[in-house]
Amino acid sequence: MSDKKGIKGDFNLITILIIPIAIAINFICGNLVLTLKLPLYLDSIGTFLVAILAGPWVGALTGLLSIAINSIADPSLLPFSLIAGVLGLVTGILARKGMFTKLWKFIVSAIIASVIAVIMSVIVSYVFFGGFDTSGNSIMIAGMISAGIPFWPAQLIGNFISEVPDKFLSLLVPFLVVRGLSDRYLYKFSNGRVFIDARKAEKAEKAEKK
Amino acid sequence: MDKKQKGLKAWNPLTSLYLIIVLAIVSVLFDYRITLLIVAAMIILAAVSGVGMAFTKLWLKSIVLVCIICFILQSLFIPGEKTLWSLWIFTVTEEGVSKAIVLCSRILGVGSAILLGGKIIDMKKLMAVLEERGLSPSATYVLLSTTNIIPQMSKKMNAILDAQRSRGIETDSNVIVRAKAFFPSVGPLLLNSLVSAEERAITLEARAFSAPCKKTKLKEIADTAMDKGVRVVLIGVLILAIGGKIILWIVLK
Repeated sequence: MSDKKGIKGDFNLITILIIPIAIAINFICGNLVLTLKLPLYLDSIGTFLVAILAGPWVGALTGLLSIAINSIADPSLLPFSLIAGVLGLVTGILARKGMFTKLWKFIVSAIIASVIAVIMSVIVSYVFFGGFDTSGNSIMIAGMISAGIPFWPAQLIGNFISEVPDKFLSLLVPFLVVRGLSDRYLYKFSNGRVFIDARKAEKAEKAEKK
Repeated sequence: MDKKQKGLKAWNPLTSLYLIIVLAIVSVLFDYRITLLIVAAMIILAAVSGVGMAFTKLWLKSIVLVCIICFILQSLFIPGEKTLWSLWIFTVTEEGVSKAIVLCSRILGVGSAILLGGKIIDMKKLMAVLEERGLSPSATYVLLSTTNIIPQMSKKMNAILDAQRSRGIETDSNVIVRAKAFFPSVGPLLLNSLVSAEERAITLEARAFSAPCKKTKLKEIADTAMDKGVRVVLIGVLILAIGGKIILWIVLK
C-alpha cells in the first residue's frame, strides 16, 4: 500500500483515521498550553505529526480542517486555517525529502517552516484584519507602531517573536515522537519508508565504524 | 423524529447550509448597513429556532468582542491625513475609522453566519445528507469523529497529567519548569493515540468500512418540496445580489 504514489496513495485508511486524532491533538495541546500558562500557541503539533508521517496533502487537509473546526466557536480564526494548511503542506514535502531524519536537517526545516509562518501570518492578518487581529501580539505590534517603528517592520518583528519559537517547538515534538515509533508502525504511512531507510542507513554506518 | 424541531432546525440541513452561505456572501458584498440588517435577521432566525439565548450569548462573547478590539486597534493605528481626535500618542483618523468600519462589518457578517450555522445545523444529519449526495464516507467520518475524539482525548490528557504529577513533575512553577512539563505530558498522549488509531482501523475494517458496495442507512432525512423551493429561492437571491453589486459598481464608476 505504501508503494502507491500521489494523492490517492496518501489517503489510505489509517491516514483517514489519524486526521481526526491529529485535529484532537491540536486542540488538546492548545488547551494544555493554556493550563500550563506558557506564552505560546503550540496548536499545530498534530498537523505537523500527520504531515511528517503521511505527506503533504494529508498535512494540508488536517491543518485547514483543524482551524476551520475551531472557528465554529471563534469565527475570527477562520482565515488562519490557510496558514495551517500551507504549513502542513510544506512540512509534508520536507518530510518526504527526508528533512526530518537528522537533527541538523530538522533545524533547517524548522527555519524554513518558521519563515513561511511569519510571512503568511503577516499577509493573512493584513488582508483579513488590516494588520491587527485579536491575538496578543497585535497589542505588541500596536505598541511598536506608536513607539515610532513603521508599519511593516513592526508587523514582521511582532509575528517573528510569536511564530518562530512556537513553530520550532511544534515541530520538535513530532520529530521526537516519530523517532520513537517502531518500524512496523511507520511502514503503514506513505512517508514511513523515508524514516525506515534513514534508520537502516544510520545502523549500517555505525556497523562500518566498528 | 423523536422530538418536534422548531424553526430552521426542522429544515433539511442542506437548506440551512445554503441559507448560511447566502447570508455570509450577501453581507460581504454590501456595506455595513446591510450587514447590520442581516445580523439582526440572524438573531431573529436563531430565536425562532429556539436557540436565541445561546446564540446571542456566544455571539456577544466572540464576534462582538473581536469587532470591538479590531475597531479600536484599526482606528487608532491606521495612519491618515484627517485627524478626528487625538490624545497623547494616539490619534484617530478618518481613514482609520472608515477602514475599521469596512473590516468589522465583514468580520461581523461572516462570523455571525458561521456561528449561526454551528448552532442550527445538526452535523450528523448534514453528513448523512452529504453522503447521500455523493460525498465519500471517509470525509464524513473525519468530520464527525473529530467531535467525538476531542472529549475522549482530553480525558486521557488529564489522566497523563495526574500520573506525571504523582511522579513529581511540577506544573505550577516558573515558565521554564512549566515548559519542561509539556514534553512528558504530550509524548505519551501522541504515542497512545497513534496506537489507538490502528485499533480503530481494525474495528472499522471488521465492519466493512471500505467494502465497495452500497450500504444501508440508519437515518433517513426528509427532503420536502418546501426545502427544494427554499433552496431555489436562495440561489436566486444570491445571483440577484451579485448582479446588483456588479450593476452598482458599474454605475458608481
